[in-house]
Amino acid sequence: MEKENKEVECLYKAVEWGLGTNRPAWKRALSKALQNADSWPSELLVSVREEVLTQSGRLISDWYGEVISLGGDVGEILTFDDNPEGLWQELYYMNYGVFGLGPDPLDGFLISVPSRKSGEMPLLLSPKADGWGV
Amino acid sequence: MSTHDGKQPENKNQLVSDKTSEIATPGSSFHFLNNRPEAVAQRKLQENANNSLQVSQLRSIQEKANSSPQAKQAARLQAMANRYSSQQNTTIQKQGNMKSSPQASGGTPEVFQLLAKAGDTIELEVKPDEPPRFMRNKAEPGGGEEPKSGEIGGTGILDAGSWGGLGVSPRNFHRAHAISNAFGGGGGADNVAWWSSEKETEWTESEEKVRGGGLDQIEDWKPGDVETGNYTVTRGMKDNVNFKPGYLSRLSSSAAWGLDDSRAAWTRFRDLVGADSEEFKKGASIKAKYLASLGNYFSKKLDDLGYGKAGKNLIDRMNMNYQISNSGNGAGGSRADLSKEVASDDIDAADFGLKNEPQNIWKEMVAANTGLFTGNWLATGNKRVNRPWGGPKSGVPRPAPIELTPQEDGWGIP
Repeated sequence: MEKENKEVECLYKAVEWGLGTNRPAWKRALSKALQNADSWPSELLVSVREEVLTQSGRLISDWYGEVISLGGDVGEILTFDDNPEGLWQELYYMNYGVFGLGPDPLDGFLISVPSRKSGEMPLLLSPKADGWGV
Repeated sequence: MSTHDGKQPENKNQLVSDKTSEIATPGSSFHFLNNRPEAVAQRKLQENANNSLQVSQLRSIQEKANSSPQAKQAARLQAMANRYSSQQNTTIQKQGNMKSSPQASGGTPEVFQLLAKAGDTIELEVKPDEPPRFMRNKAEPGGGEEPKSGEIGGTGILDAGSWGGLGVSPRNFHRAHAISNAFGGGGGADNVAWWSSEKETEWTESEEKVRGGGLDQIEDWKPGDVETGNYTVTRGMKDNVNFKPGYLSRLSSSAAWGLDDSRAAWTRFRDLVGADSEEFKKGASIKAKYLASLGNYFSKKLDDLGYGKAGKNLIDRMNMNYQISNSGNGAGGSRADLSKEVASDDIDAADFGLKNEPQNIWKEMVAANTGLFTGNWLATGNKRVNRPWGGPKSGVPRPAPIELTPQEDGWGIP
Protein backbone atom coordinates (compact mmCIF):
# COMPACT_ATOMS: atom_id res chain seq x y z
CA MET A 1 0.00 0.00 0.00
CA GLU A 2 2.81 2.31 0.97
CA LYS A 3 4.60 1.46 -2.28
CA GLU A 4 1.48 2.18 -4.30
CA ASN A 5 1.13 5.52 -2.60
CA LYS A 6 4.69 6.31 -3.50
CA GLU A 7 4.06 5.50 -7.15
CA VAL A 8 0.93 7.59 -7.28
CA GLU A 9 2.78 10.41 -5.58
CA CYS A 10 5.40 10.26 -8.34
CA LEU A 11 2.65 10.49 -10.90
CA TYR A 12 1.12 13.46 -9.11
CA LYS A 13 4.45 15.26 -9.16
CA ALA A 14 4.87 14.51 -12.85
CA VAL A 15 1.51 15.97 -13.88
CA GLU A 16 2.09 18.92 -11.60
CA TRP A 17 5.38 19.48 -13.39
CA GLY A 18 3.73 19.18 -16.78
CA LEU A 19 1.01 21.64 -15.89
CA GLY A 20 3.46 24.12 -14.38
CA THR A 21 3.23 27.72 -15.46
CA ASN A 22 6.94 27.81 -16.25
CA ARG A 23 6.66 25.16 -18.90
CA PRO A 24 7.39 26.31 -22.48
CA ALA A 25 4.17 24.73 -23.77
CA TRP A 26 2.14 26.88 -21.38
CA LYS A 27 4.09 30.00 -22.26
CA ARG A 28 3.38 29.37 -25.92
CA ALA A 29 -0.32 29.02 -25.09
CA LEU A 30 -0.35 32.32 -23.21
CA SER A 31 1.54 33.99 -26.01
CA LYS A 32 -1.05 32.74 -28.48
CA ALA A 33 -3.81 34.04 -26.23
CA LEU A 34 -2.18 37.46 -26.04
CA GLN A 35 -1.91 37.61 -29.80
CA ASN A 36 -5.52 36.50 -30.21
CA ALA A 37 -7.19 38.11 -27.24
CA ASP A 38 -10.47 38.48 -29.11
CA SER A 39 -10.60 34.75 -29.58
CA TRP A 40 -9.08 33.33 -26.40
CA PRO A 41 -8.55 35.81 -23.59
CA SER A 42 -5.61 34.73 -21.43
CA GLU A 43 -7.76 34.63 -18.29
CA LEU A 44 -9.89 32.01 -20.01
CA LEU A 45 -6.86 29.82 -20.65
CA VAL A 46 -5.72 30.33 -17.06
CA SER A 47 -9.06 29.16 -15.72
CA VAL A 48 -9.05 26.12 -18.02
CA ARG A 49 -5.56 25.18 -16.84
CA GLU A 50 -6.64 25.47 -13.21
CA GLU A 51 -9.58 23.18 -13.81
CA VAL A 52 -7.41 20.61 -15.55
CA LEU A 53 -4.92 20.80 -12.70
CA THR A 54 -7.74 20.21 -10.24
CA GLN A 55 -8.80 17.05 -12.08
CA SER A 56 -5.32 15.82 -12.99
CA GLY A 57 -4.69 13.83 -9.82
CA ARG A 58 -7.88 11.82 -10.20
CA LEU A 59 -7.23 11.21 -13.90
CA ILE A 60 -3.71 9.92 -13.42
CA SER A 61 -4.84 7.77 -10.49
CA ASP A 62 -7.48 6.25 -12.75
CA TRP A 63 -4.80 5.38 -15.30
CA TYR A 64 -2.63 3.86 -12.57
CA GLY A 65 -5.54 1.68 -11.49
CA GLU A 66 -6.11 0.50 -15.04
CA VAL A 67 -2.46 -0.40 -15.54
CA ILE A 68 -2.50 -2.36 -12.30
CA SER A 69 -5.55 -4.25 -13.53
CA LEU A 70 -3.72 -5.04 -16.76
CA GLY A 71 -0.83 -6.50 -14.77
CA GLY A 72 1.63 -3.79 -15.74
CA ASP A 73 4.92 -3.39 -13.86
CA VAL A 74 4.12 -0.13 -12.15
CA GLY A 75 7.38 -0.33 -10.20
CA GLU A 76 8.94 1.33 -13.23
CA ILE A 77 7.32 4.54 -12.09
CA LEU A 78 9.52 4.65 -9.02
CA THR A 79 12.61 5.01 -11.19
CA PHE A 80 11.39 8.56 -11.78
CA ASP A 81 11.12 9.33 -8.08
CA ASP A 82 13.25 12.44 -8.35
CA ASN A 83 12.60 13.13 -11.98
CA PRO A 84 9.07 14.46 -12.56
CA GLU A 85 10.11 15.92 -15.92
CA GLY A 86 11.28 12.52 -17.11
CA LEU A 87 8.12 10.88 -15.88
CA TRP A 88 5.96 13.52 -17.59
CA GLN A 89 7.75 12.77 -20.84
CA GLU A 90 7.09 9.06 -20.44
CA LEU A 91 3.44 9.87 -19.90
CA TYR A 92 3.51 12.15 -22.90
CA TYR A 93 5.18 9.76 -25.36
CA MET A 94 3.46 6.65 -23.94
CA ASN A 95 5.45 4.33 -26.12
CA TYR A 96 7.88 2.62 -23.83
CA GLY A 97 7.62 0.17 -20.95
CA VAL A 98 4.61 0.31 -18.70
CA PHE A 99 3.63 3.67 -20.16
CA GLY A 100 2.88 2.11 -23.54
CA LEU A 101 0.85 -0.75 -22.17
CA GLY A 102 -2.56 0.45 -21.36
CA PRO A 103 -4.73 3.41 -22.23
CA ASP A 104 -3.42 6.92 -22.74
CA PRO A 105 -2.09 8.07 -19.33
CA LEU A 106 -3.02 11.64 -20.19
CA ASP A 107 -6.45 10.94 -21.60
CA GLY A 108 -8.63 13.82 -20.46
CA PHE A 109 -5.78 16.33 -20.66
CA LEU A 110 -6.72 17.39 -24.20
CA ILE A 111 -9.08 20.34 -23.97
CA SER A 112 -10.67 22.26 -26.82
CA VAL A 113 -11.17 25.89 -25.93
CA PRO A 114 -13.84 27.43 -28.16
CA SER A 115 -13.06 30.76 -29.75
CA ARG A 116 -15.16 33.78 -29.01
CA LYS A 117 -15.15 34.57 -32.70
CA SER A 118 -18.08 33.00 -34.44
CA GLY A 119 -17.06 30.30 -36.88
CA GLU A 120 -13.46 30.09 -35.65
CA MET A 121 -12.22 26.66 -34.69
CA PRO A 122 -11.25 26.02 -31.05
CA LEU A 123 -7.76 26.09 -29.59
CA LEU A 124 -6.50 22.71 -28.42
CA LEU A 125 -4.58 22.66 -25.16
CA SER A 126 -2.85 19.33 -24.73
CA PRO A 127 0.21 17.54 -23.35
CA LYS A 128 3.49 18.34 -25.07
CA ALA A 129 6.98 17.05 -24.38
CA ASP A 130 7.83 20.27 -22.56
CA GLY A 131 4.63 20.70 -20.60
CA TRP A 132 0.95 21.29 -21.13
CA GLY A 133 -0.30 23.92 -23.56
CA VAL A 134 0.25 24.31 -27.30
CA MET B 1 -53.04 33.69 -20.10
CA SER B 2 -50.03 34.43 -22.13
CA THR B 3 -46.60 34.37 -20.63
CA HIS B 4 -45.00 35.53 -23.78
CA ASP B 5 -44.45 39.14 -24.55
CA GLY B 6 -44.31 38.87 -28.28
CA LYS B 7 -42.74 37.23 -31.23
CA GLN B 8 -40.17 34.51 -30.81
CA PRO B 9 -36.68 35.86 -31.29
CA GLU B 10 -34.88 34.70 -34.39
CA ASN B 11 -31.45 34.30 -32.92
CA LYS B 12 -30.43 34.63 -29.31
CA ASN B 13 -27.12 32.86 -29.51
CA GLN B 14 -25.32 33.19 -26.21
CA LEU B 15 -28.21 34.89 -24.55
CA VAL B 16 -30.26 31.81 -25.23
CA SER B 17 -27.53 29.72 -23.79
CA ASP B 18 -27.56 31.98 -20.78
CA LYS B 19 -31.29 31.45 -20.42
CA THR B 20 -30.85 27.77 -20.88
CA SER B 21 -28.78 27.76 -17.74
CA GLU B 22 -31.75 29.29 -16.01
CA ILE B 23 -33.81 26.20 -16.68
CA ALA B 24 -31.42 24.26 -14.50
CA THR B 25 -33.86 24.53 -11.68
CA PRO B 26 -35.13 21.99 -9.21
CA GLY B 27 -37.62 19.89 -11.04
CA SER B 28 -35.76 20.03 -14.30
CA SER B 29 -33.47 17.25 -15.38
CA PHE B 30 -30.42 19.45 -15.27
CA HIS B 31 -28.83 17.91 -12.19
CA PHE B 32 -26.04 15.90 -13.76
CA LEU B 33 -22.65 17.30 -12.84
CA ASN B 34 -19.82 15.98 -14.92
CA ASN B 35 -16.54 16.62 -13.19
CA ARG B 36 -14.26 15.50 -15.95
CA PRO B 37 -11.93 18.34 -16.82
CA GLU B 38 -13.46 18.76 -20.27
CA ALA B 39 -16.85 19.31 -18.68
CA VAL B 40 -15.55 21.45 -15.85
CA ALA B 41 -13.57 23.52 -18.28
CA GLN B 42 -16.59 23.89 -20.51
CA ARG B 43 -18.70 25.11 -17.62
CA LYS B 44 -16.02 27.65 -16.85
CA LEU B 45 -15.94 28.66 -20.49
CA GLN B 46 -19.69 29.06 -20.49
CA GLU B 47 -19.59 31.20 -17.37
CA ASN B 48 -16.96 33.34 -18.97
CA ALA B 49 -18.91 33.45 -22.20
CA ASN B 50 -22.00 34.58 -20.36
CA ASN B 51 -20.00 37.44 -18.93
CA SER B 52 -18.35 38.19 -22.23
CA LEU B 53 -18.28 41.51 -23.98
CA GLN B 54 -20.67 40.26 -26.65
CA VAL B 55 -23.23 39.15 -24.10
CA SER B 56 -22.85 42.39 -22.17
CA GLN B 57 -23.39 44.25 -25.38
CA LEU B 58 -26.49 42.22 -26.20
CA ARG B 59 -27.86 42.85 -22.74
CA SER B 60 -27.14 46.51 -23.14
CA ILE B 61 -28.99 46.48 -26.45
CA GLN B 62 -31.93 44.75 -24.78
CA GLU B 63 -31.96 47.33 -21.98
CA LYS B 64 -31.94 50.07 -24.57
CA ALA B 65 -34.81 48.36 -26.39
CA ASN B 66 -36.75 48.20 -23.15
CA SER B 67 -36.26 51.90 -22.69
CA SER B 68 -37.16 52.72 -26.30
CA PRO B 69 -39.91 55.27 -26.97
CA GLN B 70 -42.28 52.47 -27.99
CA ALA B 71 -41.55 50.44 -24.91
CA LYS B 72 -41.85 53.50 -22.72
CA GLN B 73 -45.15 54.36 -24.31
CA ALA B 74 -46.45 50.85 -23.68
CA ALA B 75 -45.24 51.04 -20.10
CA ARG B 76 -46.95 54.38 -19.64
CA LEU B 77 -50.22 52.95 -20.95
CA GLN B 78 -49.89 50.01 -18.62
CA ALA B 79 -49.12 52.27 -15.68
CA MET B 80 -52.14 54.39 -16.54
CA ALA B 81 -54.32 51.32 -16.63
CA ASN B 82 -52.94 50.05 -13.34
CA ARG B 83 -53.39 53.41 -11.68
CA TYR B 84 -56.87 53.61 -13.09
CA SER B 85 -57.67 50.28 -11.52
CA SER B 86 -56.00 50.71 -8.15
CA GLN B 87 -57.28 54.20 -7.53
CA GLN B 88 -60.82 53.06 -8.16
CA ASN B 89 -60.47 49.92 -6.18
CA THR B 90 -63.36 48.98 -3.96
CA THR B 91 -64.08 45.61 -2.52
CA ILE B 92 -67.56 44.66 -3.43
CA GLN B 93 -67.54 40.94 -3.01
CA LYS B 94 -65.94 38.38 -0.78
CA GLN B 95 -67.11 35.07 -1.96
CA GLY B 96 -65.36 32.26 -3.77
CA ASN B 97 -61.80 31.22 -4.14
CA MET B 98 -59.98 31.34 -7.41
CA LYS B 99 -57.42 28.64 -7.54
CA SER B 100 -55.96 26.20 -9.99
CA SER B 101 -56.82 22.59 -9.32
CA PRO B 102 -55.53 20.22 -11.98
CA GLN B 103 -57.74 17.16 -12.16
CA ALA B 104 -57.69 14.11 -14.36
CA SER B 105 -60.89 13.73 -16.26
CA GLY B 106 -61.24 11.33 -19.15
CA GLY B 107 -58.16 11.42 -21.41
CA THR B 108 -55.81 14.13 -20.35
CA PRO B 109 -57.81 17.19 -19.39
CA GLU B 110 -56.78 19.35 -16.50
CA VAL B 111 -59.31 21.61 -14.85
CA PHE B 112 -58.55 24.99 -13.39
CA GLN B 113 -61.43 26.56 -11.55
CA LEU B 114 -62.66 29.56 -9.77
CA LEU B 115 -64.71 27.73 -7.20
CA ALA B 116 -67.48 29.48 -5.39
CA LYS B 117 -66.83 29.05 -1.71
CA ALA B 118 -68.37 31.19 0.99
CA GLY B 119 -66.02 33.17 3.15
CA ASP B 120 -63.09 33.24 0.76
CA THR B 121 -61.59 36.31 -0.70
CA ILE B 122 -62.23 36.75 -4.35
CA GLU B 123 -62.26 40.43 -5.05
CA LEU B 124 -63.53 42.13 -8.12
CA GLU B 125 -61.45 45.23 -8.31
CA VAL B 126 -63.98 47.83 -9.28
CA LYS B 127 -65.53 51.13 -8.36
CA PRO B 128 -69.28 51.34 -8.60
CA ASP B 129 -69.02 53.55 -11.63
CA GLU B 130 -65.84 52.10 -13.09
CA PRO B 131 -65.17 48.81 -14.81
CA PRO B 132 -62.81 46.15 -13.41
CA ARG B 133 -59.53 45.29 -14.98
CA PHE B 134 -59.41 41.76 -13.69
CA MET B 135 -60.46 39.40 -10.94
CA ARG B 136 -57.98 37.96 -8.57
CA ASN B 137 -57.58 36.25 -5.27
CA LYS B 138 -56.02 38.85 -3.07
CA ALA B 139 -55.42 36.41 -0.22
CA GLU B 140 -53.03 34.46 -2.41
CA PRO B 141 -52.11 36.69 -5.31
CA GLY B 142 -51.28 34.53 -8.23
CA GLY B 143 -50.72 31.48 -6.13
CA GLY B 144 -47.01 31.50 -6.76
CA GLU B 145 -44.21 32.90 -8.80
CA GLU B 146 -45.16 33.55 -12.40
CA PRO B 147 -42.65 31.97 -14.80
CA LYS B 148 -41.07 34.38 -17.19
CA SER B 149 -40.47 33.74 -20.82
CA GLY B 150 -37.42 31.52 -21.19
CA GLU B 151 -37.36 30.32 -17.60
CA ILE B 152 -39.39 27.18 -18.04
CA GLY B 153 -37.83 24.47 -20.14
CA GLY B 154 -38.93 24.71 -23.69
CA THR B 155 -39.21 28.22 -24.93
CA GLY B 156 -35.52 28.91 -25.31
CA ILE B 157 -34.50 25.44 -26.35
CA LEU B 158 -37.31 25.15 -28.88
CA ASP B 159 -36.44 28.36 -30.69
CA ALA B 160 -34.90 27.64 -34.07
CA GLY B 161 -32.46 30.49 -33.43
CA SER B 162 -31.05 28.70 -30.40
CA TRP B 163 -29.14 26.44 -32.78
CA GLY B 164 -27.34 29.09 -34.77
CA GLY B 165 -29.69 28.97 -37.75
CA LEU B 166 -29.74 25.17 -37.90
CA GLY B 167 -32.78 24.67 -35.72
CA VAL B 168 -36.27 23.93 -36.96
CA SER B 169 -39.43 25.04 -35.19
CA PRO B 170 -42.79 26.49 -36.10
CA ARG B 171 -42.45 30.25 -36.19
CA ASN B 172 -45.67 30.82 -34.35
CA PHE B 173 -45.62 28.52 -31.34
CA HIS B 174 -46.55 30.23 -28.13
CA ARG B 175 -46.14 29.41 -24.47
CA ALA B 176 -49.21 29.84 -22.34
CA HIS B 177 -50.72 29.33 -18.92
CA ALA B 178 -54.06 27.70 -18.34
CA ILE B 179 -54.90 30.54 -15.99
CA SER B 180 -52.34 33.27 -15.70
CA ASN B 181 -50.98 34.57 -12.47
CA ALA B 182 -52.66 37.92 -12.93
CA PHE B 183 -55.93 36.08 -13.25
CA GLY B 184 -55.45 34.20 -10.01
CA GLY B 185 -53.94 31.09 -11.54
CA GLY B 186 -51.07 29.29 -9.89
CA GLY B 187 -47.60 30.10 -11.04
CA GLY B 188 -44.99 27.51 -11.83
CA ALA B 189 -44.05 25.19 -14.63
CA ASP B 190 -47.02 22.85 -14.26
CA ASN B 191 -49.31 25.57 -15.48
CA VAL B 192 -47.36 26.21 -18.68
CA ALA B 193 -47.79 24.57 -22.06
CA TRP B 194 -47.57 25.43 -25.74
CA TRP B 195 -49.77 25.95 -28.69
CA SER B 196 -49.80 28.26 -31.67
CA SER B 197 -49.92 32.03 -31.43
CA GLU B 198 -53.15 31.99 -33.46
CA LYS B 199 -54.83 29.76 -30.89
CA GLU B 200 -53.48 31.91 -28.10
CA THR B 201 -55.03 35.01 -29.65
CA GLU B 202 -58.34 33.25 -30.14
CA TRP B 203 -58.31 32.13 -26.51
CA THR B 204 -57.32 35.47 -25.08
CA GLU B 205 -60.12 37.29 -26.86
CA SER B 206 -62.66 35.26 -24.91
CA GLU B 207 -60.64 35.18 -21.71
CA GLU B 208 -60.55 38.94 -21.59
CA LYS B 209 -64.33 38.99 -21.54
CA VAL B 210 -64.11 37.39 -18.11
CA ARG B 211 -61.10 39.08 -16.67
CA GLY B 212 -61.04 42.29 -18.63
CA GLY B 213 -57.97 43.29 -20.49
CA GLY B 214 -56.79 46.37 -22.28
CA LEU B 215 -58.38 49.78 -22.43
CA ASP B 216 -60.99 48.69 -24.95
CA GLN B 217 -62.11 45.94 -22.63
CA ILE B 218 -62.66 48.39 -19.82
CA GLU B 219 -65.24 50.13 -21.95
CA ASP B 220 -67.10 46.99 -22.90
CA TRP B 221 -67.15 44.78 -19.85
CA LYS B 222 -68.50 45.70 -16.45
CA PRO B 223 -69.24 43.20 -13.74
CA GLY B 224 -72.32 43.78 -11.73
CA ASP B 225 -72.00 45.21 -8.25
CA VAL B 226 -71.83 42.06 -6.06
CA GLU B 227 -71.37 39.88 -9.11
CA THR B 228 -70.45 36.29 -8.37
CA GLY B 229 -69.67 33.46 -10.68
CA ASN B 230 -67.72 30.29 -11.40
CA TYR B 231 -64.94 30.38 -13.94
CA THR B 232 -63.68 27.00 -15.14
CA VAL B 233 -60.88 26.24 -17.57
CA THR B 234 -60.34 22.75 -18.93
CA ARG B 235 -57.12 22.05 -20.75
CA GLY B 236 -56.61 18.91 -22.83
CA MET B 237 -53.04 17.99 -23.61
CA LYS B 238 -51.42 15.96 -26.36
CA ASP B 239 -49.97 12.84 -24.81
CA ASN B 240 -46.31 11.86 -24.63
CA VAL B 241 -44.91 14.78 -26.57
CA ASN B 242 -41.15 14.39 -26.79
CA PHE B 243 -39.09 17.00 -28.57
CA LYS B 244 -35.81 15.16 -28.19
CA PRO B 245 -35.83 12.72 -31.16
CA GLY B 246 -35.82 15.48 -33.76
CA TYR B 247 -32.62 16.86 -32.30
CA LEU B 248 -30.91 13.60 -31.38
CA SER B 249 -31.29 12.04 -34.80
CA ARG B 250 -29.74 15.04 -36.57
CA LEU B 251 -26.87 15.31 -34.10
CA SER B 252 -26.19 11.60 -34.49
CA SER B 253 -26.18 11.77 -38.28
CA SER B 254 -23.85 14.73 -38.08
CA ALA B 255 -21.48 12.72 -35.92
CA ALA B 256 -21.65 9.91 -38.46
CA TRP B 257 -20.75 12.45 -41.14
CA GLY B 258 -17.77 13.79 -39.20
CA LEU B 259 -16.44 10.35 -38.35
CA ASP B 260 -16.88 8.84 -41.78
CA ASP B 261 -13.75 7.27 -43.29
CA SER B 262 -13.99 9.53 -46.30
CA ARG B 263 -13.55 12.75 -44.32
CA ALA B 264 -10.46 14.77 -45.20
CA ALA B 265 -9.19 14.95 -41.60
CA TRP B 266 -9.20 11.16 -41.42
CA THR B 267 -7.56 10.61 -44.78
CA ARG B 268 -4.78 13.01 -43.76
CA PHE B 269 -4.14 10.78 -40.76
CA ARG B 270 -4.20 7.67 -42.92
CA ASP B 271 -1.76 9.23 -45.37
CA LEU B 272 0.55 10.25 -42.54
CA VAL B 273 0.83 6.87 -40.85
CA GLY B 274 -0.14 4.45 -43.62
CA ALA B 275 -3.28 2.37 -43.85
CA ASP B 276 -1.47 -0.79 -42.69
CA SER B 277 0.23 0.77 -39.69
CA GLU B 278 -0.45 -0.01 -36.05
CA GLU B 279 -1.20 3.65 -35.47
CA PHE B 280 -3.90 3.60 -38.11
CA LYS B 281 -5.49 0.50 -36.59
CA LYS B 282 -5.43 2.08 -33.16
CA GLY B 283 -6.92 5.28 -34.55
CA ALA B 284 -9.66 3.34 -36.31
CA SER B 285 -10.46 1.50 -33.11
CA ILE B 286 -10.64 4.76 -31.15
CA LYS B 287 -12.81 6.30 -33.85
CA ALA B 288 -15.26 3.40 -33.81
CA LYS B 289 -15.58 3.53 -30.02
CA TYR B 290 -15.98 7.28 -30.08
CA LEU B 291 -18.73 7.15 -32.68
CA ALA B 292 -20.52 4.40 -30.77
CA SER B 293 -20.45 6.49 -27.60
CA LEU B 294 -21.81 9.69 -29.10
CA GLY B 295 -25.45 8.61 -29.29
CA ASN B 296 -25.69 8.24 -25.53
CA TYR B 297 -23.50 11.29 -24.97
CA PHE B 298 -25.74 13.50 -27.10
CA SER B 299 -28.83 12.03 -25.50
CA LYS B 300 -27.54 12.96 -22.05
CA LYS B 301 -26.60 16.44 -23.16
CA LEU B 302 -30.06 16.97 -24.62
CA ASP B 303 -31.56 15.75 -21.36
CA ASP B 304 -29.38 18.22 -19.49
CA LEU B 305 -30.73 21.00 -21.68
CA GLY B 306 -34.31 19.97 -20.94
CA TYR B 307 -35.23 18.10 -24.13
CA GLY B 308 -35.73 14.74 -22.50
CA LYS B 309 -38.89 15.52 -20.64
CA ALA B 310 -41.51 13.67 -22.65
CA GLY B 311 -44.97 14.46 -21.51
CA LYS B 312 -47.94 16.71 -21.95
CA ASN B 313 -46.20 19.72 -23.38
CA LEU B 314 -48.53 20.74 -26.19
CA ILE B 315 -52.09 21.93 -25.76
CA ASP B 316 -54.70 19.89 -27.59
CA ARG B 317 -57.74 21.95 -26.67
CA MET B 318 -58.90 24.49 -24.11
CA ASN B 319 -62.38 25.14 -22.82
CA MET B 320 -63.55 27.98 -20.65
CA ASN B 321 -66.85 28.41 -18.95
CA TYR B 322 -67.97 31.39 -16.93
CA GLN B 323 -71.34 31.16 -15.29
CA ILE B 324 -72.60 34.19 -13.45
CA SER B 325 -74.59 33.16 -10.41
CA ASN B 326 -75.44 36.70 -9.41
CA SER B 327 -75.02 39.40 -12.00
CA GLY B 328 -75.47 42.09 -9.40
CA ASN B 329 -76.35 45.62 -10.29
CA GLY B 330 -75.05 47.82 -13.06
CA ALA B 331 -73.38 45.15 -15.11
CA GLY B 332 -72.46 46.13 -18.61
CA GLY B 333 -74.86 45.04 -21.27
CA SER B 334 -72.46 42.50 -22.65
CA ARG B 335 -71.57 40.97 -19.30
CA ALA B 336 -72.91 37.46 -19.55
CA ASP B 337 -72.23 33.79 -19.16
CA LEU B 338 -69.57 32.59 -21.53
CA SER B 339 -68.58 29.23 -22.96
CA LYS B 340 -65.72 28.81 -25.38
CA GLU B 341 -63.62 26.01 -26.81
CA VAL B 342 -60.39 26.52 -28.70
CA ALA B 343 -59.47 23.28 -30.44
CA SER B 344 -56.11 21.77 -31.20
CA ASP B 345 -53.83 23.01 -33.92
CA ASP B 346 -51.30 21.09 -35.98
CA ILE B 347 -48.12 21.87 -34.06
CA ASP B 348 -46.46 18.65 -32.99
CA ALA B 349 -43.10 17.47 -31.68
CA ALA B 350 -42.10 16.52 -35.21
CA ASP B 351 -42.14 20.22 -36.10
CA PHE B 352 -39.12 20.81 -33.84
CA GLY B 353 -35.55 19.67 -34.44
CA LEU B 354 -32.50 20.43 -36.52
CA LYS B 355 -32.08 20.89 -40.24
CA ASN B 356 -30.85 18.00 -42.34
CA GLU B 357 -27.43 19.57 -42.78
CA PRO B 358 -24.96 17.15 -41.16
CA GLN B 359 -21.83 18.92 -42.34
CA ASN B 360 -22.94 22.30 -41.01
CA ILE B 361 -24.09 20.79 -37.74
CA TRP B 362 -20.74 19.03 -37.40
CA LYS B 363 -18.90 22.32 -37.99
CA GLU B 364 -20.97 24.04 -35.34
CA MET B 365 -20.31 21.23 -32.89
CA VAL B 366 -16.59 21.53 -33.54
CA ALA B 367 -16.54 25.32 -33.18
CA ALA B 368 -18.71 25.03 -30.06
CA ASN B 369 -19.32 28.75 -29.82
CA THR B 370 -22.82 29.35 -31.17
CA GLY B 371 -26.07 29.16 -29.24
CA LEU B 372 -26.81 25.72 -27.90
CA PHE B 373 -23.78 24.31 -29.75
CA THR B 374 -21.77 25.99 -27.03
CA GLY B 375 -20.69 23.44 -24.49
CA ASN B 376 -18.55 21.22 -26.64
CA TRP B 377 -20.67 18.41 -27.97
CA LEU B 378 -17.53 16.66 -29.19
CA ALA B 379 -15.45 17.10 -26.04
CA THR B 380 -14.84 13.39 -25.58
CA GLY B 381 -13.27 13.13 -29.02
CA ASN B 382 -9.84 14.56 -28.21
CA LYS B 383 -7.60 11.49 -28.29
CA ARG B 384 -3.97 10.50 -28.73
CA VAL B 385 -2.40 7.60 -30.58
CA ASN B 386 1.13 6.60 -29.63
CA ARG B 387 3.78 5.70 -32.16
CA PRO B 388 6.08 2.70 -31.81
CA TRP B 389 9.60 3.26 -30.58
CA GLY B 390 12.44 0.80 -30.07
CA GLY B 391 13.60 2.28 -26.78
CA PRO B 392 16.57 4.42 -25.72
CA LYS B 393 19.09 2.00 -27.16
CA SER B 394 17.54 1.97 -30.59
CA GLY B 395 19.20 5.23 -31.53
CA VAL B 396 16.00 6.30 -33.22
CA PRO B 397 14.45 9.65 -32.29
CA ARG B 398 11.42 9.19 -30.13
CA PRO B 399 8.25 9.86 -32.13
CA ALA B 400 5.61 12.12 -30.64
CA PRO B 401 2.07 10.80 -30.30
CA ILE B 402 -0.56 11.91 -32.80
CA GLU B 403 -3.50 13.95 -31.64
CA LEU B 404 -6.77 12.94 -33.24
CA THR B 405 -9.43 15.57 -32.67
CA PRO B 406 -12.60 16.94 -34.22
CA GLN B 407 -11.67 19.16 -37.16
CA GLU B 408 -13.82 21.31 -39.38
CA ASP B 409 -13.60 18.66 -42.11
CA GLY B 410 -14.04 15.59 -39.95
CA TRP B 411 -12.36 13.73 -37.12
CA GLY B 412 -8.63 13.25 -37.54
CA ILE B 413 -5.63 15.55 -37.79
CA PRO B 414 -5.40 19.19 -38.93
